Amino acid sequence: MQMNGLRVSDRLVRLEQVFTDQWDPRLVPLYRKLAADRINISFLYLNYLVPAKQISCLVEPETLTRLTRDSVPGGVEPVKPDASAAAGLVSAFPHRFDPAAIGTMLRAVAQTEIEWHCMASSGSMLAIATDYATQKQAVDAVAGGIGLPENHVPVFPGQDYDPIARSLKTAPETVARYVESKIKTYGIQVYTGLTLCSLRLRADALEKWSRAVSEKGCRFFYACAAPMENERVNLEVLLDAGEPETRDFDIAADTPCADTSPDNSATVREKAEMICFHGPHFGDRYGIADKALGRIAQAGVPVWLAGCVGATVSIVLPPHAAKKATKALSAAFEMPD
Amino acid sequence: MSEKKLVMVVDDDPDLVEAVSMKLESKDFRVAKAYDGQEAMEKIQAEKPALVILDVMMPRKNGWVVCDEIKKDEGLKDISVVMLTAVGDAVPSTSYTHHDGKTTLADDYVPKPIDMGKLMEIVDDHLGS
Repeated sequence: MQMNGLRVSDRLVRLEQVFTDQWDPRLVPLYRKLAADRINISFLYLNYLVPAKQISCLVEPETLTRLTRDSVPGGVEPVKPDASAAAGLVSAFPHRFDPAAIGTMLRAVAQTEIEWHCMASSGSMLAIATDYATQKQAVDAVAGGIGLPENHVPVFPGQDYDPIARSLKTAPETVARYVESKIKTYGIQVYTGLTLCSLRLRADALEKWSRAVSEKGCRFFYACAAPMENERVNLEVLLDAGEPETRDFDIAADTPCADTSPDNSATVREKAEMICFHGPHFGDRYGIADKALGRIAQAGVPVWLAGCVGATVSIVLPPHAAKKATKALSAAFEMPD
Repeated sequence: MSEKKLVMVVDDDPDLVEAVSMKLESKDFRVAKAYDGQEAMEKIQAEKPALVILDVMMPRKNGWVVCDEIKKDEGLKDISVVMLTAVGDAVPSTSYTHHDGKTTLADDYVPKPIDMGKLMEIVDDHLGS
């Protein structure tokens, strides 16, 4: 598994919201709370398919000073986050939509000495959120697992720029302000007829499975994962595996489920859909995830999974939902042809 | 049948590189990719693309320096360079843009956020396709 590079973001803080009880409509999702307080989300992992629905965000620690009480009127806000949860992000690229890249990455970090929290993908990157304390081990493990060009040096965005560019990024000489009636995007991709696999397995079994589906010619369009108890990993991966009626292989056949542990599982949902978009400076702006997920919620469309990695937003939806969701997004986002 | 022309896309945003590459491939170009200025320079030396789409603010070596190195190299100076200039557009009055923008010899400029159609027109203009 050869990839081109690693990007490493350190000095972040991880914030997490888990809905373990019954859904309270007054609950303010973490991404909305952060938008209300003008806090940019550097990385978002959202999984509403698991029993304990989870939203994890990485933010820059300096921005946490903007956190206020009751910034969303009438809502029950998430408890004040623990600013000591120092975290980092390790992103490998490009994954070339090859499912084997996911298995390789997860196998590399799912070791006892690495504290990792979640993974999400974009159109080219697989990004893993780790504890800051074990980020170095995670970088080494990923670099060793995937194989990189001989002279490759991991890039630390914001630190590896020349002095003028670095100072411009942190303290611009001129601040440009402009107002967008709609948020610009580089276009919105809609994918339909996909197969969503939810796997709960050990990382070595996931790696074997990911290689098997790769060899069958499947590509993936979105993937997210989080560690579970007993060294298992919960992986959600969206594949183009063709129509189930004409598929000549069992997509879950290589998952060693009940034979190894009753806790293992493989669930396959057919005809899942996805919306994916990418826009200028999305990685540096607050409120993008809230605007997107809020519009979709207002339209009454349920969201299964979502992720923000780099400047890309990915939203996985149930069958027949993408058209309605795209229409809802078009009110807030500019969609070039 | 003529050989497909090679275009190199250089940006520190891998998703943007991927999006531009897919568009170029759909227009029948071959694409090489680099994610910082130093990697770009090494690949340009090795692969000699017909055109380079080059971001400005990148780690290790910025786009102005890469452009300058291409245009001052006898073996590379004929490569067309199209700069992606978020800096020049959003921050028009800085020593960075004044000094470097006036002294580099790029063949064309496209402001960020990129208009993909406009970028493809510029590529076509320079490569005569």
